[in-house]
Amino acid sequence: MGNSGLGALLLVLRRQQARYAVPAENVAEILSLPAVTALPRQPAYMRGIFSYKGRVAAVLSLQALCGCGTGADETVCVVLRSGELLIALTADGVESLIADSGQRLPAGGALTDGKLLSLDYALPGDPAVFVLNLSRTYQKIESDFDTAASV
Amino acid sequence: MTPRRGGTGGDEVGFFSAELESMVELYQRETAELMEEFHARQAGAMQNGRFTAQDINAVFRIVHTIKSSAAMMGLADISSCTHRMEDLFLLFREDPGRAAGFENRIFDLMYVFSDFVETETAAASREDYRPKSAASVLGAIRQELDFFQGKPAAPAEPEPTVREAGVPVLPEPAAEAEPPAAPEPAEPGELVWRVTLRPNCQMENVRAYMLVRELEGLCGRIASQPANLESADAAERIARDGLVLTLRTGHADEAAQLLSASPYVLRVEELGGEAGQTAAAPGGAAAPDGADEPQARRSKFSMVSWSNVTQLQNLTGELITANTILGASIKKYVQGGPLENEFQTMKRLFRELEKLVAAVSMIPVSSVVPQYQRLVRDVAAREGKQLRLAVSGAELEVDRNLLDTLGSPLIHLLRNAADHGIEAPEARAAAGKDACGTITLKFENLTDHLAVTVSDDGGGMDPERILRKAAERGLLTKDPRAYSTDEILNLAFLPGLSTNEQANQFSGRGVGMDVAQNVASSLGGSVTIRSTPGAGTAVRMEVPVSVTSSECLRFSVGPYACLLPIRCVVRILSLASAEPHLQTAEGRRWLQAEQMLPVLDLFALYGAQPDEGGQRLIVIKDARGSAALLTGPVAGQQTAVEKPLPALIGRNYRTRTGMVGCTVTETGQLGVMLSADWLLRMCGKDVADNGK
Repeated sequence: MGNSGLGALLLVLRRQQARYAVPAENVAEILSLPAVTALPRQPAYMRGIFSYKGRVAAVLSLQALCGCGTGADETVCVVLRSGELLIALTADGVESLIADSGQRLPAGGALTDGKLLSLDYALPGDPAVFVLNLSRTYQKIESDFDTAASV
Repeated sequence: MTPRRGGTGGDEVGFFSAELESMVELYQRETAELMEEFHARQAGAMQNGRFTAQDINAVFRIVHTIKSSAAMMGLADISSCTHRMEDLFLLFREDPGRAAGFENRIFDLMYVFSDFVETETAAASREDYRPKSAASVLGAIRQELDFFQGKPAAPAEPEPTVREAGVPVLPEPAAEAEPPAAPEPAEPGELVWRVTLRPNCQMENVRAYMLVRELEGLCGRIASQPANLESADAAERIARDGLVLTLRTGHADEAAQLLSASPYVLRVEELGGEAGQTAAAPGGAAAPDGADEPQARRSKFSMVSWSNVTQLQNLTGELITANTILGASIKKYVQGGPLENEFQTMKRLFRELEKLVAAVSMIPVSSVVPQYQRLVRDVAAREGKQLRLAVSGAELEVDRNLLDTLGSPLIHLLRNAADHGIEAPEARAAAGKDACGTITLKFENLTDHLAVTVSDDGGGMDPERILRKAAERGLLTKDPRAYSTDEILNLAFLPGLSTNEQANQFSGRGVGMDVAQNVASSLGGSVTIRSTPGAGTAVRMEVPVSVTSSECLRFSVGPYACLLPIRCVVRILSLASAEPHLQTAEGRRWLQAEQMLPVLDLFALYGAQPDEGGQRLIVIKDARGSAALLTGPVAGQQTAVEKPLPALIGRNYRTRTGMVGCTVTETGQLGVMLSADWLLRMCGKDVADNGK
């Protein structure tokens, strides 16, 4: 999944008090929470799978990916697509579409190297907006899922 | 028609002129079709160990046709190569004996030639395409020409290609233009037809050549005006005067039909000959003067892009799924009546549609055989072995997607057989075997399944060695002495387990068997292995032929809706009724039936609470063996269109749960598709052998 560059549009997702953004070009659709089919022994951050326009997508909870909740109160589902990859992220809400101003908060290892989420950078503001690196986040989740399944 | 020579003027971006640009796709498609036939002829010759006169003629015609179309496209290097190949096959056509005994060097040259032509042709649609020099290919062909002409081999030099900047190339411009087209005097019993091509169909002489070539099979004699379809003005003359054909044939109707079916033919008129008629279209209706072609002239075939066929398949799957959901609602809310009758009609129609779509997607197995022939030949050359690939069932027609999916495991299995299965010639001689090893690739139609077997007459697998390697890698789950031979052979399916001391660039890293198993499982099939030390190994994959839908049994395991192909289901028992036949031994439950069947508790496997009262034992069976699954209630049978699980859900999850896909159930929710093969694997050694 592509990273957003200067001037790109970002969709801001709300997760409790925090703000996360994904490149708008990767957003296929914003849905209210769909009926999801849970899978046996799925990790806590996975809500299950659902059928989206003939394909099956994994639905992940932003809350649970951040390790701060089960996602029970999340109300929206953002379908993200890049090339062949298709994934859905549930969040408390969708806030706005913003242009990437190009301003950056200094990023340290703690910012960019979460257990499951990977961030490209943060935009200044109150609160700051963390921009997800979808490609690296996907890889981390994929690796975690496979490791968990093999235990 | 002037190709732009990019990179010279600085302001030119593409190789082809705007006019030629529009023809690139057509050129690529036709060349690809011709090269497919080229490979098929080569594969046939390799299988027979010699070229037949038909093979030689066909290859000659193919390279001749490509030569002309490449020249028209301004692709001088391809045109020069094909011209020289044409010279070579002309030698063989005149004296087939020249090729005898030297087939291998001809095959080698054909590969060098086809690699160049195919790579260049595929690249032609790229925006930055620039033709590559064919100097080395030309050198190789010239060397062989010299050899077969009995000349001493000369050092290879780049052969000048017939090319002038900005001018389309015809490899052999005719010294003199032919006189205007006039029908060749027809002898008694001969027909004379004028074929008018569509305006602006481009490359008229190439189209004409291909028509003549196709007609040859139906005619005892065929002559054309212009006689030399390669002459510099042939295209122009055909566009202006038409192509005049003199035919001696007992199949006039078929010939007329063949011409009418061509998308490039506007009109066919009979000028004279046997019937003595003029201005009448053969084969029936007369062509209206000046009008567009009549319906009867339209081609019976039409090119359809493969992506459209795939979309049609997917859409059909979606329709079947939607209809299944609709059917469940009708059953629930409207019992009987006209609505249910209409639904049954729709169901039948969708079945018809599915069959039709399946038929559209079929291609002959023979279309993929040449690449396997080449693979085996390459390994033989590299490893200094003598190998022969025998193919049976190449005439079967199989869904193209299925054939594509099987491509990867077949390549691995064939490489394994060629690299490691077949012994070196000395070892074979010492064992009293033919120095030339045989690998057999067998396709079988088992009604709703396709079986593909790769077998070899090599040294077979060494169970002791497999066991030792598995132990070294910590892959054994019990005392090594407790493993049966079949269990040991099945260890070869574990990822990364290879008994070969030395891997090479192609095989020997224990990937092949793993790939075969994964692909077979992902398709809802199975793979088995048989091996006899000293006699060889056979790996057999069985996969469902329908890639659109399958009949499944639907049942629950706690909150999870699961489906299993109905063909794997032998029997369904309620747990209560089966209770007297259940035993516990070696830490697991067994169902005493004709055999002792291990019971796989899906509630435990999926961490689900057992359903009180409604538990079932579903007895399953496939090529691997039999077992019983402990499940929740059975909901019924449904037509399921399998969808792949999201890529995020990796292989480990699939192998640990037996879940290989999902489908929309009658309730509109997703259910998970289980693989009998994986579930039986989970039973490990306990799986009941199907009378092996």
